[in-house]
Amino acid sequence: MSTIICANCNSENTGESELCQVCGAPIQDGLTSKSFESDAPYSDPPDAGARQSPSPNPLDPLKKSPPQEDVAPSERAGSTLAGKDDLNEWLRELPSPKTGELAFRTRPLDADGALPTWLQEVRSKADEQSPAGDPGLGNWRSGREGDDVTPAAAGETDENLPDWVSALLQPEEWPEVDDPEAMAEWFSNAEDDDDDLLPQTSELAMTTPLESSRELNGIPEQLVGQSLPEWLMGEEGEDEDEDLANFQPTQRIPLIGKADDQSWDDNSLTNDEFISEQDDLPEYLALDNEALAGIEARNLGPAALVAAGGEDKLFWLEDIEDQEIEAALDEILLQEYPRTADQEVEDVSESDPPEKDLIAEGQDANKILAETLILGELASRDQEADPSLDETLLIDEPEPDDQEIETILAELSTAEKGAEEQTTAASGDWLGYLEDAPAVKTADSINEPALQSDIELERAEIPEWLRTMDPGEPGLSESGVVEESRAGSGPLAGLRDVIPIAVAATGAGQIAEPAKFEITKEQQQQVALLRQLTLTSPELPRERTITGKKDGVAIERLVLGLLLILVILIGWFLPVDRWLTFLSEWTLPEATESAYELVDQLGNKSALLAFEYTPAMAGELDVVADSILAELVDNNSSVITVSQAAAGVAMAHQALERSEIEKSYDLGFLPGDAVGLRGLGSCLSAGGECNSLVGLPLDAEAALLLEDVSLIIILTSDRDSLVNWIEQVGLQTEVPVLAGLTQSLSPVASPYLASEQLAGLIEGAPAAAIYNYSLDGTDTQDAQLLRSFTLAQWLVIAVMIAGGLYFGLSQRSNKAAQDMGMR
Amino acid sequence: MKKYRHTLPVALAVAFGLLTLVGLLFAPTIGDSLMSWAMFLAAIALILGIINLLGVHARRASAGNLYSAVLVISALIVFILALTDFLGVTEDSVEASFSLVQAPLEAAVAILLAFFLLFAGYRLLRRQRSGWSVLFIVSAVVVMLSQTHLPPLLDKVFGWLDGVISDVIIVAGMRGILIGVTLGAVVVTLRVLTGSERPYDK
Repeated sequence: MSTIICANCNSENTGESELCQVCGAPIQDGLTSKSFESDAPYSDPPDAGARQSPSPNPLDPLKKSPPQEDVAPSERAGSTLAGKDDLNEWLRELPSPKTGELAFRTRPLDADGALPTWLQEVRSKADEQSPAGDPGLGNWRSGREGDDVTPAAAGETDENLPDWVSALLQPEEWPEVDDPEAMAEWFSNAEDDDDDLLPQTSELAMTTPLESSRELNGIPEQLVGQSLPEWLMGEEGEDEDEDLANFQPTQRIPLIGKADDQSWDDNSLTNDEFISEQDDLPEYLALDNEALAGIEARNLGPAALVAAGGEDKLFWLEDIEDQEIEAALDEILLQEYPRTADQEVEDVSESDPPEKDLIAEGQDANKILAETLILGELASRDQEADPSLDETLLIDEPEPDDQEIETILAELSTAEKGAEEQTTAASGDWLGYLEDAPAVKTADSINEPALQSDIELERAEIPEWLRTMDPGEPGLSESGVVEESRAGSGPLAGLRDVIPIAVAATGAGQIAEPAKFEITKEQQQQVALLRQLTLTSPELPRERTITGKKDGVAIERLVLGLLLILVILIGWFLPVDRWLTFLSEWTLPEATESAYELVDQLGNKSALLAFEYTPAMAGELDVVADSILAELVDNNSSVITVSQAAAGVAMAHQALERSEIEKSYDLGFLPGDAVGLRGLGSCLSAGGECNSLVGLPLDAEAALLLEDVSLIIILTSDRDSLVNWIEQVGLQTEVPVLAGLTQSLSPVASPYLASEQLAGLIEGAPAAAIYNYSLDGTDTQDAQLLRSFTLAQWLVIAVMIAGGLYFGLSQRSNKAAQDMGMR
Repeated sequence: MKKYRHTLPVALAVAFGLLTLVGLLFAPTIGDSLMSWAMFLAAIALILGIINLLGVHARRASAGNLYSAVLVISALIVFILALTDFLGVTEDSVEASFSLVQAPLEAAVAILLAFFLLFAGYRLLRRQRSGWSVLFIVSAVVVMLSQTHLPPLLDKVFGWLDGVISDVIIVAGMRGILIGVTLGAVVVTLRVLTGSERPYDK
């Protein structure tokens, strides 16, 4: 199927098309045709998936995943549709006929036919700054390489321009348009009587993104050697026509491939300027001024770019041999990227213009066609008013009359209404996203300070009119997945692998939402277990009420208690020694005998008697104390009492009262435990030099008694007290120390007795009773005590043996142990 | 000042410990003076302890603790009796309260120990039947038999046995314990003197 390349936008069209389906311009038959084996770029349903699928093929930018910066301009120029790929997604989805409006999107002429003010200023500046002898148009154009902004745009939309554009809008860059005559002559080729179209024509030319010399250096040498003009290679031509002719072929390659975001911004300036001057539109355009302005604004970027490229192409396309250049390019590209012809055809078919997608998405093809028709006719009207444009922008068409225009406008209005309804109903349309845009912006306000600031900065560089038309989420499908890695809007439009801000913000908002919990079965079981353990009152093990066993234990206790009392009473009241004659034969222990010998040897000297026991042990130690005091009384000895226990002081008083001793002195309470005993020992060892004790002065009687102390008797039931007395007092003095202890404490005193640190030991009440019994004989209270005590000991021994045998040989021990444990 | 909160007590303890040790070894006068200070401080600490005890139990009594109330009331009564004895209002009222109340109560509680020991000896193997329990019972029975008065034949046997137990086993065991305690006291003393042990900083 044959295709026709549009002279305006250089896009491929079917052979049956009369209007360019990209720019809407009438197609000049036979201009350039190219045959493909199967090519129906605008009639076949688009393959959206193919357009989304990435491809490593560098010849197809649509499939090319690497960043665009990695591709040389010459390589990008190899694909005739490379510039369209850089369009924004939402702009690509716009109906194609609207892009055709660019064909007539020329600056409206002033009513009086005069040049606009800004052009007059340009001319005046050019007259002032440019030398008269250098009027070449090629020089003017070459000087504008990189200066793609009209002065009007610079003056009118300076606030909305990016910095780099503002930098290019300096007035001093325009002096290259130094020859008004040359400009007038050049404009005369492109315009007719209507001078108001001149700015628009020049604007279109100036918005064409010419490649810089650096980009031109990327052109293959074959191409440069054959067709590049000398002025473009660094030397400026003198002849205007020759410059134009030589300039166009060299500009073609980068021009087509330079449909990037920079061109987008440049065209936006033109559009802004256009909108700002809508009041200057002719009357027939003013009928649907708002609709046209909207259409114009939405189609601004790509359409202006393509149209600009097409227009520029027309300058040089007439004298160029495209076949030679393309052949050279194909040869070079095939050397670098070998590929088959089928792949090339497939790539070309996959890189269909966005109009194809719109048709596939259910857009009304008739509407598009109607819009294309009406816009083309409107452009033809402009062309009629300014025939000079036909060579650059428009192709001669039959001039429509007013009735036809009204009819077409009516159809256009009807088609637009239908399109609006259809747009509202279509869920996949980008207008649907536009309605959802506030929600997306709300997501932008999530706590993402850095991201929010970035958004604001980027948006600040976008013109207001363009920002209002931003659908918000270009390239975002219903599922929220980015369909294409190329940025569709903003200053980064056209760049690959740019993370969409709106999508990122939306994703952040989604992330901020609490994730849905999926409670597993194990977690539920754990929760139930925890609730059971924490909330439910624990079922305590039921206390086993073993009434029988409990009563049995109580009976055992009662029986044992009664037996003990009975034995004590028997020994106390009954003459057991008569029945058991061996109970009357007592032998005094050796240590006890030594103790009493020391007491007897004391004579009339003083004895220090320490009462270190409480009333709890009084039943056992009072017997010892009474026996010792009685011996001291018999010896006419003096007694000094002291105690480190509060109750011991009272016990000493009672013992002294019972003994009726005459010479006694109570030192009272001695605080400080070992330290106090250390001080007392120091005082005893000091002889008569001890004048104070425990910080208190000692009276003369106490001092004399302490100086005369010849025996220390310790009556205690406490181990620490015994040890402190022996270690702190007994070691400082040479005074012998006796100990009257309870029987339970006698093992503790055994080492000291063996080491002779203790001169004597009276082991509890039995030893004292034996000593008294040896003195007084039978039928005394001491004999009763010994009988009762001996019988009680026998009972205890018998009970322990009986219990051990009973529970040791029986099987009840374990169960009994369990019972006791449960209690 | 906060910096010296821990270092100052340590410095004082180490200094006075070393000074006391040196005084006990070489200058008994200094050691005795420090001992007198320590005893005086101990007496003051006893008074402070009594006041603290009364204060704590007074708060508990105000909270409804009956036993604390009894303790506080008893302490106040004894203090008042001592004061009246000191003033000559009463005579030996403190000793009378001791003889009539404290001594019988403590003796009654102590006599229960004989019943508890009897019953525990009887049920010893019922709670835990093991070799150690059997050994404990056998040792207790043998010691008691050696301590009691038995017929002459048995008294000689268990008298000899008592001598072995008392003079060998008990003395050896207790001496080992006392040596261990003494070594522990020496170590603690050295730790206190070096500042490693700070019982006053708890």
